[in-house]
Amino acid sequence: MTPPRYAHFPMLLLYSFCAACVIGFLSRGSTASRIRSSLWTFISFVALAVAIAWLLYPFSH
Amino acid sequence: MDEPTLQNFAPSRLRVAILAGVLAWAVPGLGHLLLRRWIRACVYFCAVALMALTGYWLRGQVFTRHPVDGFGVLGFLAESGSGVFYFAAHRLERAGPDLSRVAGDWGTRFLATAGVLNFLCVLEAVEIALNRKARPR
Repeated sequence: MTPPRYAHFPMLLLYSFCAACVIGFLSRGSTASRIRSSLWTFISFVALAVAIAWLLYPFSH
Repeated sequence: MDEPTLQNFAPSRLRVAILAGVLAWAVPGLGHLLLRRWIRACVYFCAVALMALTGYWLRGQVFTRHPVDGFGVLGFLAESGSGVFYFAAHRLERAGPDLSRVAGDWGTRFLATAGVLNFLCVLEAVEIALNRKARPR
């Protein structure tokens, strides 16, 4: 199957979602707290990646 | 308080821990299923499977058991963590890797991360089996 035409951002979202699910559920506590932990991990992943991308933007030109 | 050593655990518990670890590596989530952690088993299987299958879909590089350099060794160690998804690579990625496009590069990262995440799940399954982790399911 041919890989799709894609953009980096959806790939980042998918990568962050999967990684955050596992990392969040590895934490201790109730299911609700692990879901919260997953959510925060996901948001942190995406926010940091976008922040780093903007910081590196001047070097790409 | 002293950390318990392997000698402090009953042989039966050690056997379960080893079995859970091997199963968790072979099929993501299966070790947790054995330990009756249904939600975790489901989450780990879905997350690792989604990452590995996306990696193959994007035609990421699959590192073999006979790497040519240090990077290959690390790649093999990381990707082999996804167990059945690694060993089924030749079926899941019939067209082979394509690193000429950035999609292939993304795919390689997805495959490696799927393996590393599953290694973390293996460690957790062993920890749960040895009863060193809190009970919530």
